[in-house]
Amino acid sequence: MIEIVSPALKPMPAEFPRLAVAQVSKAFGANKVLRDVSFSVRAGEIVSLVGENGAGKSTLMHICAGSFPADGGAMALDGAAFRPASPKAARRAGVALALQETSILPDLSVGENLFFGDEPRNGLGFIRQKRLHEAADAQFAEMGFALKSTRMGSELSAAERQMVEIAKAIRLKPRLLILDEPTASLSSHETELVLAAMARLKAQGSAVIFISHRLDEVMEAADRAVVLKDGALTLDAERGAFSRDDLIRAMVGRTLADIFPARPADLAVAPVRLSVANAAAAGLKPLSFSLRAGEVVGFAGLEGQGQRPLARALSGITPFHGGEIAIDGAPIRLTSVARGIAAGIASIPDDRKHEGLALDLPIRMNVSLFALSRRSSWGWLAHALERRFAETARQRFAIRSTGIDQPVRQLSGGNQQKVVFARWLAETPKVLVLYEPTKGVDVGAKTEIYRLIGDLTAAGVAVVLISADMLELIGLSDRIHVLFEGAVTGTLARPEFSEEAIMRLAAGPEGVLNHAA
Amino acid sequence: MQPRGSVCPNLMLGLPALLLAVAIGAIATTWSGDFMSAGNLGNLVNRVLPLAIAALGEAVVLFAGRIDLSVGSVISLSTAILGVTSAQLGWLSIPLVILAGLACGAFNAAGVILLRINPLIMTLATSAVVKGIALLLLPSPGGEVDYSFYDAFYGQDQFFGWPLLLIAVAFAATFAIFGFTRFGRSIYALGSDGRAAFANGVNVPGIDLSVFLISGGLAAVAGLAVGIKILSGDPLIGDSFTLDAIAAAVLGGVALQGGRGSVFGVLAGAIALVLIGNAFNLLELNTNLQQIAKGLIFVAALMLFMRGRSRSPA
Amino acid sequence: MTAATYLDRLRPAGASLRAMALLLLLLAAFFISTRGFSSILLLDNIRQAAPLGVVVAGQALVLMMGRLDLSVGATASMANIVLCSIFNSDMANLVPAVAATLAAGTLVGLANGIMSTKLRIPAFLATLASSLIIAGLVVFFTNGSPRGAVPPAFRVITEGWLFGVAPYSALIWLVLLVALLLLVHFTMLGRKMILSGANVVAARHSGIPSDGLIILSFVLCSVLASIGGILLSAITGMASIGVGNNFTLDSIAAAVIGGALFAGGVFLPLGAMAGALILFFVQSLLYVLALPPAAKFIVQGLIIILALALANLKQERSQ
Repeated sequence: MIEIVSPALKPMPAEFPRLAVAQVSKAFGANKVLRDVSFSVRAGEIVSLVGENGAGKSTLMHICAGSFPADGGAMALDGAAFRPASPKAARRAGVALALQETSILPDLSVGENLFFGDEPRNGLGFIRQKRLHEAADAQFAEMGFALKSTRMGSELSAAERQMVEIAKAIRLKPRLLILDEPTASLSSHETELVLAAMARLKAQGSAVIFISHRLDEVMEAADRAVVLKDGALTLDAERGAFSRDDLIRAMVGRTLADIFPARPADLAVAPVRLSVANAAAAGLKPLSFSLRAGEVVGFAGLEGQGQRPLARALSGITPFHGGEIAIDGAPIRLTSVARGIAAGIASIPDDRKHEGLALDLPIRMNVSLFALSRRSSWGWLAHALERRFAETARQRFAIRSTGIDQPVRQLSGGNQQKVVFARWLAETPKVLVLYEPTKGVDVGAKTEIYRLIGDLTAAGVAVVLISADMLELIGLSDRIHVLFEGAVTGTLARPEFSEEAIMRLAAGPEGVLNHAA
Repeated sequence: MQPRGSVCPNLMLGLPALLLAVAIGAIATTWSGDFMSAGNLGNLVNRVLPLAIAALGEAVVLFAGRIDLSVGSVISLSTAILGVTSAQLGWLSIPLVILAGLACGAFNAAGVILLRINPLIMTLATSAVVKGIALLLLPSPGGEVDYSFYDAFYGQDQFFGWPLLLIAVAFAATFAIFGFTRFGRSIYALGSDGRAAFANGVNVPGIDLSVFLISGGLAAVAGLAVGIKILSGDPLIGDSFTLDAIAAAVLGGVALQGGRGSVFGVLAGAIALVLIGNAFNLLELNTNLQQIAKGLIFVAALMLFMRGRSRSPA
Repeated sequence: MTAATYLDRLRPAGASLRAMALLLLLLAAFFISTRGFSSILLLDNIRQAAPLGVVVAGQALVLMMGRLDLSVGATASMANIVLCSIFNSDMANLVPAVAATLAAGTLVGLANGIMSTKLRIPAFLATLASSLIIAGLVVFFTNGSPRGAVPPAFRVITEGWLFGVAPYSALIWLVLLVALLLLVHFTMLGRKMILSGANVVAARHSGIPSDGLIILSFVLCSVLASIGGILLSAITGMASIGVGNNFTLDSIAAAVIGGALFAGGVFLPLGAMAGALILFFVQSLLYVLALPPAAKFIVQGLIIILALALANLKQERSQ
């Protein structure tokens, strides 16, 4: 492979790469997350790590940053063996990690978070609170971030938390900076600030690894792209030696057409299944939309723009305020989950471990709830029916397990998600609300879930798909609404779908204006 | 105090308890002319002392998001050790008591860190074990504490005396630790969000060990204050302290989920609780009604401060 | 429906079997020391363990819901006072005495349940506070010197033997355990309780009325604690303050020995039974060895720590 040196890169005496990763592997229980991954990052280089949800990117970065050890393989930092025992040890060695799930402490101020563990102190060992806040404000000013040091961590928005997280990592002037999806919650302006900060570090000779889902960003900022798929490395190429299509092929292993079910051309004649008119909720401005039978409507947006309130309100967990919700033309009062279920709404939560499953109970007990409640007589539990139903579900959804009595905790993410689907699909619902349905799910299970969604729509189920995964939104939806600050800022029809078009709307009205001008 | 970071918001948390204490004090003053007398104030300080110290230890554990249900038993054990040994050992029995308190804390920490037992249940079990040891040492109230201890510590019997100084020093030191040191900040961080704290490099087992040692040590100091006051040992006297200590902390705005609360709030909570008891006495309320009222006040305090927080540990 | 599936459901869990094995070991030691097996002696011990056993069953139910009830001791003590004072040694008062006792227990359970769900107070603190209030009320209404006793005829429930072979109290215990087993493992209500106990958020998001089920578990627990108090009163015969106070820690220790987990989602009736018996035998052993009463507390605490440490170790190895 020909090395293409970007003009910004100062020539460095680089006998050793800044970080070399050799044949690293890791398994959680039976779930192999990383398989013999090898790659390296040079000083003054920005490497973008790309891959689908659950491909093992975060795990790999956590190993580099000392959160947990690898099962096998080795790492070297500037030629010296690197085996960080803790995040602290990694940081001392000069490796800083900014997490996607931020580590901002809610009960401390922004400045205290920024300097946590490294506070300026006086001779007595007491923290110099004033100096701390001044230094923090100075750093935010230098980076162009509009943040005040004295605000509390708990008051910050998702984007602001992410900014503090990045500032924390950059403050250390690390030898290697790792950013885990730094831009997932950021608008285009904020994204530019982050990319600029990365470039500054690079110019100072640091190495940067950043994980991203936005291929545009990867094409723009990365000196090199490394792609993971199902825990294995599938692409490692210099800037200019890869295209968007190369990235996608390396991420999913086949072309998109093979993964996503074909969408029917015209659904305009199908009856309206779900209509929401002028309904608001906490964190959600009055919203109107409707779904026809067999239609998939996607909701896109930056992180924290009302996706969660929408998913919760549609499944009856938190109430809508005002407005009208109707299913098949009949108005319903969606004031509890039970009412939603009675009206024919099934909903898959994004956080299956906390909101979907009883992890220590067997598959049998997790899948059978709705099947049993419909068919139990006099309140007695029909054990034989439960076993039969669970066995059928295990086969229909291809839940890989030792049997229906295996505790759900021991299953892989994809199979756990199939258990959630199996519970809710005991009977075909009218409306299916999907919130990040393939988060932390491997490609195989993902494809199966997509096929299942295709089958359900063919049977007339209307699907609400709330997701941060662009490929998934574009591949599955018939229409995409884009959310910004709790309101729909735009709607795209299938022919207009593109990552760029979605991002433009996701940046809010300002972004729309800028583009129009 | 300038609005700087986490120090000030945490101070504000203690405000309701402070207002409550001031209000009760004001009512009691108008009720009875004796309330503000130096004698009664000195008496109040003496009664605040053990509760405030025990509640301080409990609060430190709560800051870290843990809980300690063994505080009461450690107080009982302390008085028992004091009652049994002070005649022979004299002043040496005091460090012995504190060592025993630290050992109880270390035992709690061992269960939580090494055996990974839920702090709630570990400290409950420890509480039973420690109570058993106290009863072995001293099967019924008795023993003897040298009167010179009382004379030296409580002898002045006025507002400004050793007890007030001890409270002031303990709370000022703890305030400094939690307001201005990395150690204190790590404790808040652990209670605030355990995973984030770990990611920020907090030594979680180290903090666990520290908070249980602090709690055990302070409970022993509270036990000394009790034992010297009653001039004897009592293997059951501490039983009510566990709930009182938690109540004082909660009343003072300490979050049971950890990460939030100020040491001065705890002091205000302890003062408010003692004043409530004092007011009951002034009203000549039946002591059994006092116990019922205390329970109800505790429930009310919990209700007020749990609002809007949905995490509910066992 | 085949008999096999029912039999399969009745197959005891590993934790129950381990508790039973431990119990058999203890029994073997016990009978070796008393030189020879005696079924009468065994049944007599079961008879005396019944009050604790009933309370443990309730505690295990609350633990299944992921909560903890620290008021069972105070509730059992209260049951003793209410029962004896209304009975007043007259069998004619049977119905009002028992009804009032159970009603008082129900009230305690309701209060505990509402505090720990609607008011969002952590259950262990809510029940700790209610135990304080209950004890205060008892002393207040009796002025510290309770009067009254159960009539001798009533004491049949713990002193009598059915056909001379089975103690009534053991039968009551067995019937209550079987009823709980049926409720939890054979009804939809019980299934929803298990799902709530294992993950309350997931249960709520599946439309299960978890708060109501948690309140129900507290009510059942307090009623069972009251029944435990009634059985205890039949043994002691008279009213006295705080007779049941030891039940709080005893019931937690016994439930934990029987495989209950603080994380919730587990209900093992057989384990709860074995746990109660083990604790009873250990305490009899302490008595036989003439150890001071204080040793009981130490053993209680150590048993809880040991049982949980072993459960944690086992879980770690399986992961």
